[in-house]
Amino acid sequence: MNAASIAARQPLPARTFTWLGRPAAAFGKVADKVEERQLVQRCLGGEARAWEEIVRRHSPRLYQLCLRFTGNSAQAEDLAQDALLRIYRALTSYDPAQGSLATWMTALTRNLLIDHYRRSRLERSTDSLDDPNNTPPAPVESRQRQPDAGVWQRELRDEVQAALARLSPELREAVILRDLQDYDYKEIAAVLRIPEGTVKSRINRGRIELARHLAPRLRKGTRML
Amino acid sequence: MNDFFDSLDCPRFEEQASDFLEGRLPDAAAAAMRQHARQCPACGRLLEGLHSALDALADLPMPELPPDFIPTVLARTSGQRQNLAGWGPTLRSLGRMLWQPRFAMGLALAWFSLALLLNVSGTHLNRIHAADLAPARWPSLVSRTVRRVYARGVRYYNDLRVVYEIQAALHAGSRQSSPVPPAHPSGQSQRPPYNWNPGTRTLARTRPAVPPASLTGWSLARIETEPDWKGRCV
Repeated sequence: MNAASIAARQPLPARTFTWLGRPAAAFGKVADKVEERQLVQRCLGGEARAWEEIVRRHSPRLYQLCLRFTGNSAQAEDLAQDALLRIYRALTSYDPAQGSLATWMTALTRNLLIDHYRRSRLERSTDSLDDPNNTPPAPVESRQRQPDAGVWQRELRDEVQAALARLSPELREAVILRDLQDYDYKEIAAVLRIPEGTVKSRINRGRIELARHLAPRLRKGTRML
Repeated sequence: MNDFFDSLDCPRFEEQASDFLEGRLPDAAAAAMRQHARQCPACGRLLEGLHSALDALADLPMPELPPDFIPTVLARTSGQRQNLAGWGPTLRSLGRMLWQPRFAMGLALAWFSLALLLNVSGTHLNRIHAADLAPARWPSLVSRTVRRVYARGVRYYNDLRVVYEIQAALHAGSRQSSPVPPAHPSGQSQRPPYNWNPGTRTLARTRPAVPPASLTGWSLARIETEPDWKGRCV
């Protein structure tokens, strides 16, 4: 694959989504907003099944957001649970006129993630490099070539997660919301409470930085395939 | 659009890269981007890397939720966990909490502190009766316990040998520094010596059963008003 072939490629096609993994933007566009509003009203009325439906519908996406932001499954589980707890307590303050339920829930979760990031900043700066969870992946060139495509794919996923973790939190959240959760720019601007132009700039810078982190691995993969 | 084409340098190309990949640019601008990518190797590599990175992101699988995630959330919010998953997850999470070494250490310290307090206050759990639990009796129980603990402390302090030794040393020092009273005409010392009683572990002066008839009024007054004399021999 060379630059000319890349330049000649068509723009990225629209993605297809599964039900649980369906991004918020698609959900907001497809789902009946009246039904969503009724679901919230039933939940506020004390109907446990309505709250359970909300949890089942949005938990995978919130967990993914926390996992991709923190890179740690245990922390992601705790943070996603705390986020849902906060959402449950603040459900009375949700205003459907301000945006979809998914956007509102993501905004609350994002605030929790930023709080967690600020709290743990000092801990991260003093973390020992001996901790295997904090050890950055070894340089790609120093690894032996793995002929197994499955192994290579798993390693690539780990490195994508590691590259995400190396982005600044502002760029990381923008890239996650756009490229993993498929929010549109307007929704990201509502979640992050920044202008759309800033959203666009952050997404672009985050992608470029991510591509630079992944360049050695991706070049190697191109040679392999 | 010619302006866009003419001003498309590498920094501008980098700014527009995401828009180009997402198909947000008009046709002419996209064509200019393609031409620049063909002519500029660095921007071509940038575009290639961006495309590969986006493909890698799209290949990231949706993570699976931990099995207890939703029941735990429901239990922490609406309390419907029992209806959904029974007591199993509740007991498992409780067990996980109790299994923490920090919790076990805290529990052990709390138990040790409670036992120490009960021991010091002389409280025996097997001697507590149902009537003692009536709130009307609590003030008297507390007062009695406080008095008992105080008396025990005072007794312990008074029984310390070192206390007596210090007091004896102080008395000896004060006798040497005080003016010697005039000798009694009979030749007897007017201050009786200290005697150590090993049974009670106390020091006491032996008071003469009957004051000598020849004591003067001065010496009688001194014996009666001397504090250590009164404190030890009465």
